[in-house]
Amino acid sequence: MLEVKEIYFRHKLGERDILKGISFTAKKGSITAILGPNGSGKTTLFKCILGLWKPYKGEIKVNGISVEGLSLRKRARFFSVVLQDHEPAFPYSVFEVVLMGRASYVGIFSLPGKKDYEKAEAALKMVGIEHLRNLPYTKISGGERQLALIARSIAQEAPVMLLDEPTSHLDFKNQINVLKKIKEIAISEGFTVLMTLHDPNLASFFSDKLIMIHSGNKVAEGTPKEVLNEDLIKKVYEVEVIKLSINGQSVICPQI
Amino acid sequence: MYIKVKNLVKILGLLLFLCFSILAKTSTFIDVYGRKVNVDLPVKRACLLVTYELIPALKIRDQVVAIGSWAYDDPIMKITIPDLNQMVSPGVGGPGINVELLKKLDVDLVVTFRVPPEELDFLESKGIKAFAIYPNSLKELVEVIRWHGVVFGKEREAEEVIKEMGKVMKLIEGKVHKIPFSQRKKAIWLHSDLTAVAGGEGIVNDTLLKIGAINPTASLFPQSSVAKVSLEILIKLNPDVIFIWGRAPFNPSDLIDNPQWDYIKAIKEKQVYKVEALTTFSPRHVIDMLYMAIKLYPEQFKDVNFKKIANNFYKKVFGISYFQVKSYEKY
Amino acid sequence: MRSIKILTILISPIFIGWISLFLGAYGVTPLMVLKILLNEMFPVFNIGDIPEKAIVVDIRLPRVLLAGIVGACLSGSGLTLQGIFRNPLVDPFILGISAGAAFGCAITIGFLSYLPIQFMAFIFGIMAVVIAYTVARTQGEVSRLPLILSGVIVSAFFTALVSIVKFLVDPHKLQSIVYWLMGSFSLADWKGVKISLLGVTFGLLPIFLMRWRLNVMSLGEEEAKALGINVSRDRLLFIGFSTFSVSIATSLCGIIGWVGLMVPHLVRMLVGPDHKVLVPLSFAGGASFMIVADTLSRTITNFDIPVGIITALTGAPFFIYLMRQGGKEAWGK
Repeated sequence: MLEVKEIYFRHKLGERDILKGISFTAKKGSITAILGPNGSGKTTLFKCILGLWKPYKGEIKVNGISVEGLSLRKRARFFSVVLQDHEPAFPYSVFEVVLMGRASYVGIFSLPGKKDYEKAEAALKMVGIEHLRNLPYTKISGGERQLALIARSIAQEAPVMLLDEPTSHLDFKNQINVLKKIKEIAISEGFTVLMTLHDPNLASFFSDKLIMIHSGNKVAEGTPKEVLNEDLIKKVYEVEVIKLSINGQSVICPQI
Repeated sequence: MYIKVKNLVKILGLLLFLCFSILAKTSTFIDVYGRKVNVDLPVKRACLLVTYELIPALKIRDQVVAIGSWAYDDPIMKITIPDLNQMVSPGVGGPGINVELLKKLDVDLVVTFRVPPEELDFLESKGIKAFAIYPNSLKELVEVIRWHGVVFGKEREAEEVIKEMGKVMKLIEGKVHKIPFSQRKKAIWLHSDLTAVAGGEGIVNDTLLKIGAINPTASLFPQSSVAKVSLEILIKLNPDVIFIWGRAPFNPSDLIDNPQWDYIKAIKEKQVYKVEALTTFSPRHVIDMLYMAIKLYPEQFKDVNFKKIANNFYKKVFGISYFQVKSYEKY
Repeated sequence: MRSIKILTILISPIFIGWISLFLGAYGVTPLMVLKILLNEMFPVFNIGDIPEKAIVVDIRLPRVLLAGIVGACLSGSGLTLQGIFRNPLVDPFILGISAGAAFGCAITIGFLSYLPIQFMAFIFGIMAVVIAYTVARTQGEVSRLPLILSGVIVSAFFTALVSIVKFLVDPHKLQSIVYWLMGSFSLADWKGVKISLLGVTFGLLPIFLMRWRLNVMSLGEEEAKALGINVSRDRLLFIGFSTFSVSIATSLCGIIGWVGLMVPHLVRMLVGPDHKVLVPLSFAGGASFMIVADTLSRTITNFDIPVGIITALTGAPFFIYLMRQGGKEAWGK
């Protein structure tokens, strides 16, 4: 269970707040999507939750424990992250990449142990990419890379899993597959999943809860059905849309 | 009052001689690179970068305005030149000469050793005459000293110095001549570094030859004046005696105390000597030669009183006592 | 197969070092070399007090050992720096660490002769890399080209300082600095070997133990932090250990370039990027490379060629050839 309370953030020499008192909760085994246009503060919120940046006000709790002032290592036991697809410096094998998820459990002068190897294997299996384990990470497709990073997060065994735009570089097929897999794992392993997405529809298909961010403020929190309405979308994204409902599933369409 | 014709001729002759002496001559000399250098004689504002010991030897203090910076710690210079520290230096005895200083001093001739010719051309282009010397043998050293005599108008003084040098060299030659080849010993000269040996070229090699030594590096490095070698080669050469350059940053004890050198004959018999002179571009190099010869063949030279000869030489050439200079020796 | 490659590289220094003991200007017969070496362990042969013994045991053996250890230090440090800066073109020489260490040594010889040279070598080695890093750093991470550029500048700066010291001090004290700026093992002795073991114990050993951490560090600052690594602390530790081993090495034999750049690349091309395997292989590969270079430097001519020249002459073309073959793959492009 993740609780975010009144987070305020501003850059060191910044003139205005980027996050203005964001609060929300996310339940164990659920998927929460954070929506908002570019510059709304989504990534900033992510970095604050992860501990990369420090909010000057507010509190973050996981399962009732405050993560304030935790060392990076301890923090890694609470949060794992799948960052946007990036340029890898070295062609590690998929297995080596997943194994690195165990970093916070391996002492500085030690090598990963049997348990760490087992967890990495299990994570690979869970995500369904064992057949890729010896391939260089750089030689697999974008979708497979995302799955590998997800496996790494699983190996990390942190209750809260953060994914920053997990679908932004993927083709249609992989977008669906990756999000499906995330949902599966969240439910079966009990992760609290928090992800940022730019597509409100995609978010609504796979999330239990949506949070809308606009100019550093939270403007909505609730089920996709509750949050997705035309006025809100217009206010936040500055586009005209129509909301349709098909078999109980809401869809937002642009008004042409 | 009438003047005898004979006397008149003498007077006229003297007048003529005086005229010619007063009128400055310009002579052309060829330096070690084959460069032609025109010099107005006699030189009056010279800069001697390496041959500064000729200042007391040829008594040309008034004709030299700058010296190489190695001169400042030279004992002979310290004793014979009272205002040594007031004399300026355009640099180390070699590259990177301070041209501005030379211009400011209005230097009419710079005598340097074998620096890259581009630097000499540079000096020429700034209107400073530069003459490069590099005596490869004792004979050439003598010629260099003689040449200094000519350019400074001190031919007589130069011949005196050369005469004294000749005496010492003759003494050495006389004794060495008698040593049969089968009894000749191997000697090497270490220069700036523990493993930098003098090769088959240059004044050091000639010196070793003249004192009756066999220079084992000559066949390995016939064209190098200094060669950097590995310790193995030094052990292989196995010299009987090792001589060390006066300016080397190490002393005989550094070799004798180092177990890696133990198998060299010179080390076993503790025949390692550092020569006194800090420079080879000086008349007193022959005293070093004598010292080396005595250390090399103590039996043959046992009747030679080194200190007496050295003292005599220093007195005649530099006007000081050898013992004065000895007190400056650092080790 | 991969394991065969790994094993070969690991034992190569022993093999190559062994052969090097038989080579040298003095000309000791192979049988005699064997006898002498055996005799050191079990005094069975009555060899007596002969120069060949000194040649093999007091001159060749320490020289080969020192070359091997220095090679391992330079290569291991190069690998570490490449990993933490995620930059294929860095090594201790390029970042200015070698020049900084050389300056530390020069200053000690010239003005502070009561101190052991390794001390100032380390201080200025660290200073060099800190300056290079700070100058290149803009916000968050250090991008590749600025780091190399600032390293080159720092290296040039300290090299100039070395020349200034040489100029100010009695020029003959540092006459040998020319060889020092080009690297040389000609005066290698057992004392030097013992000192180099310091570099191994407090430089290479920690890096060896931390080698898996290098994998994570090489992912980049943000990602490593997200995985729970205290990046600033670990980076400092890695820089500290590599600089220490390079400083020790430089104080013993002068500046030797190229090894720290090439050997890590070579090894990476052969066995992949996992530092668990790369670190020990870099040590071994660096040792072998250095022993070969030094043996060449003392046997191909009668002169003792500065070993830095050999590493540059053999290393640079070989490196270019390798880069064209498949270097890019080793860097995930």
